[in-house]
Amino acid sequence: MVRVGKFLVYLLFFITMVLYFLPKENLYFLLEQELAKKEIFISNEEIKEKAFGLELQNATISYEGIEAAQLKSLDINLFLLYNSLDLQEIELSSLIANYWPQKIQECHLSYSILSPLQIEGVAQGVFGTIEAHYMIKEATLTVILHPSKIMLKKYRSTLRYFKKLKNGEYSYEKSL
Amino acid sequence: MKNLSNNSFLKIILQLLFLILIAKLIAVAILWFLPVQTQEFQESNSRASHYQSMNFKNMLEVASHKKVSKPKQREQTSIKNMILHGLYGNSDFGYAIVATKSNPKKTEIISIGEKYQGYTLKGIALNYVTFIRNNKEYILKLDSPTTKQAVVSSVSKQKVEEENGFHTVSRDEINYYIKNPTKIWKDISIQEIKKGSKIVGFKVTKVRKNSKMDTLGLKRGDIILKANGIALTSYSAAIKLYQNFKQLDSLSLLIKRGNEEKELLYEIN
Repeated sequence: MVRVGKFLVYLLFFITMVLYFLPKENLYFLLEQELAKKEIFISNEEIKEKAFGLELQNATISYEGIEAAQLKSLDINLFLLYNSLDLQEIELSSLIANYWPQKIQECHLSYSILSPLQIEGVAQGVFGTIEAHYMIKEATLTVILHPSKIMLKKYRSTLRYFKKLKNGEYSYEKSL
Repeated sequence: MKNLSNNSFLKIILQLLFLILIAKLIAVAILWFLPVQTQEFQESNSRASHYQSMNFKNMLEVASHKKVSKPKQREQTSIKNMILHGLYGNSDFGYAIVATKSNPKKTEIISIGEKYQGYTLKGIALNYVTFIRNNKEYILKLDSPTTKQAVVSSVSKQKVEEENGFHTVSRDEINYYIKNPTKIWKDISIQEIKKGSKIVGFKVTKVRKNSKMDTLGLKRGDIILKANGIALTSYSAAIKLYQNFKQLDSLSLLIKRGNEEKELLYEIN
């Protein structure tokens, strides 16, 4: 039993060290390379490597040649068993201003080994609050929106794409 | 020395150092396969190269050759039985509004190089046009001998331009919509048209009367297929066009109106 415990401690130490030494910046370049294949580009960012992650600041996100959003900071944390992505102060392109409020204060995405088949997300902004679940196996995205007063007042046309729930929430489902 | 080597603490430290070394080697090995450069968004890969400033004169000429809707075959009429209602242009490019004496109200707009009743429009002068047929030149004068060039350019030009899908747009109007993107959707509504899952164009579902958009020649029901020769098969293609408006000197829109394809030409001054 002691030997098993010792082995686990050594294994955990080894994994921690691998994560620590991993070239996070280069892994991020690999991610960028994969995103570029889908015409998604993250530009003008300042990259700061951390012990177990990476921090990007003042990034511009473009999709298919269109500037889609600007974000103040993006924090990537890799702990293998629990990984997260924190985005702060996102400003979406003015092109969508008619359909969705431009400012998103924060967005948190996480993946935990405790629920290995789903990625969870929470976002807060002028629109209200969003809870999202992405089921990896089924490739389906479920979004629950708790709309703000502004969202209910100014963006009624967008809410038509959502299904209204009894408790005042709105849901949206899509297979990706 | 014996005591040192037996020291279990040192043994653990050595084992941990060994693990650190292995972890570092793994990280270095992984680094070997990873890219070392960031992927920056290249403007040249994007919208900038798609919509370049065009020579409007060339565009008109190309448009005249590309015209999709072919005129129906008719019985040929003598040049004496033709009327010239209006003209616009010079010896190299331009349009003429012509009709037959038998049906003077049924006018047709033809550009240089196009055929009408078997005659090919060759050139445009101050108050007449020249046609060519079987290597012979024919002159067709404006129907009213009193018509002066000034009248032609102020009245006929406008008519020819609008009827032929040619519009002049001021830069201020463009800037107005760029600064107020929400105004666009108040004045015009468009909706994607799909064939299966693919977008094939954008349909104009509403044009607000007496708005700036109303003066641009687009009508409800028109399907915009191409802009400056680029197929609008995605929202991003349409957005790229919008984002690039400031740099454009001219714009051509290929639209489908009813069963006919038509080209609308805009010169931005």
